[in-house]
Amino acid sequence: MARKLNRNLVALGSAAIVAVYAVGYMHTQPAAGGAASAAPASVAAPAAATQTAVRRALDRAFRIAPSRGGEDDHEDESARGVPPSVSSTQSATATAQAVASGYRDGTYTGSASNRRGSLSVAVTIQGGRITDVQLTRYEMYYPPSRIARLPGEVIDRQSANVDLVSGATYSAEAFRQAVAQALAQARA
Amino acid sequence: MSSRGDPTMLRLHSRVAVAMNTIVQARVETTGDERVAEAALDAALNWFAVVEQACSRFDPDSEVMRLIRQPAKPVSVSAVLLEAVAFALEVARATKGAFDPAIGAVQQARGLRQHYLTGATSDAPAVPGSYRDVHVDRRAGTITLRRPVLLDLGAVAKGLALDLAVRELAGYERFAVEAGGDLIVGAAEGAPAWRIGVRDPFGDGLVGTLTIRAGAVCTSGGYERPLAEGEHHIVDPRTGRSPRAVASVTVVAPSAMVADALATAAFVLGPEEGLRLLEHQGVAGIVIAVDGAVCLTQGADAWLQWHRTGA
Repeated sequence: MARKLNRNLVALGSAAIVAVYAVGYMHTQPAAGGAASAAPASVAAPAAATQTAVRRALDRAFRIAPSRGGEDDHEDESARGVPPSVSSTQSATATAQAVASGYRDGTYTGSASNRRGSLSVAVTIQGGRITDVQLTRYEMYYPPSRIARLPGEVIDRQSANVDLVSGATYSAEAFRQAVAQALAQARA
Repeated sequence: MSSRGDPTMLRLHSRVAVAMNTIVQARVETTGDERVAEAALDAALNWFAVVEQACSRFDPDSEVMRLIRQPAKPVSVSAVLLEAVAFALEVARATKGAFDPAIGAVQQARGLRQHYLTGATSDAPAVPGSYRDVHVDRRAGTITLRRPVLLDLGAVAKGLALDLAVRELAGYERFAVEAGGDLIVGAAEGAPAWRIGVRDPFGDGLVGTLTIRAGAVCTSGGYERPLAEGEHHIVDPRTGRSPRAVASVTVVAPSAMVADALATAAFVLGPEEGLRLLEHQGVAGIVIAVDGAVCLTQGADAWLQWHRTGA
């Protein structure tokens, strides 16, 4: 109705994506690549090595993790009110070199778990800065029991109640806890 | 296995990465070649690194943070930053400032200043301001900060990355990218639709599920990153405090950038005005008030199915 009088945000949003693609991915590279060498976190860059590591971790995780098939696991009422727990599985290989940041160089691991699963990260610090963060273990039962199955697994549609969850920040929460735990060791 | 070529035997391929203060997952389901699918997943996830490098307020080396060091003149920027800022300004205008990307200084003062990986605190010398202090010249490809305001693109950058990423996966039988509870999906004709759960803002379960074939589903909730004394990571730019009338807003839209920004804006505006904004913009939404009342935009059921769970 009155919608047409205004600039429609849905149309503008679509145009924005087209514009970025039109300019081309390479155009954005200088800014991204140039800063990445100095930036603390080139973490997300799915460099082949990182991805292989993640893949390996996933493979391992889901060989261990119980497959929770088609149960109605989003109805776990017992989940309510259970505080997330942070468990220590440290294996720091730190050099005793404290830098201005307060972090000693080395690789530190942190783990966190909540009602939905658990994960581990390995945080690498060089020259007092974080240079890499990797997921070394990732076992989220819900929703990722359905998201990150063993690659290549044949999907059984009948068993899944939902594919994904919006607003589910369990894995993000666990991730932050795990990184904080790793960094606490780096500071110690 | 001998499933290749059999359309009833889709195989799932997924990748997980760390970006934007959360875990990002990309997935495709296909009967096709595994290596091709995984190259597409890599390309999808790479967009998160590109967008983060352009838009992060917490990284002094990001493009947006270099911007604040050059106020009062047009600065050439990447297409990613240009589009992110241009869109944020449009949302700000559409909401008369209930959504405002120039809120960085306020967020910094409220304690949202730590880089999620380095732990380094950002202390950018920013002045308070509003979206009116920011000018985008699309044709010239420049952004001008009339005053050194600190831009916070948190409510558009992740959505932009999701939108860019998912295009790398288009054409597969089923595909999705998810980042910290915001997601965008697609399904080819004949492939099953996506069933998306919506988290209960008061608990650990689902408040309902919705079924869509293609589109973005983004949720803004005060439960995500609580600060002290009822404050959380969403701020009303007009008051400098966290809005408290809404528990969560879920928006379904063709684009994640639109869905995420409008979910944030509706959260700030409150249940009634928020719903009006969503309807006016032609997107579907679920607004859950702090008293537990669940409201849907009118006509939402035309393109999604919503099933409420329990009472």
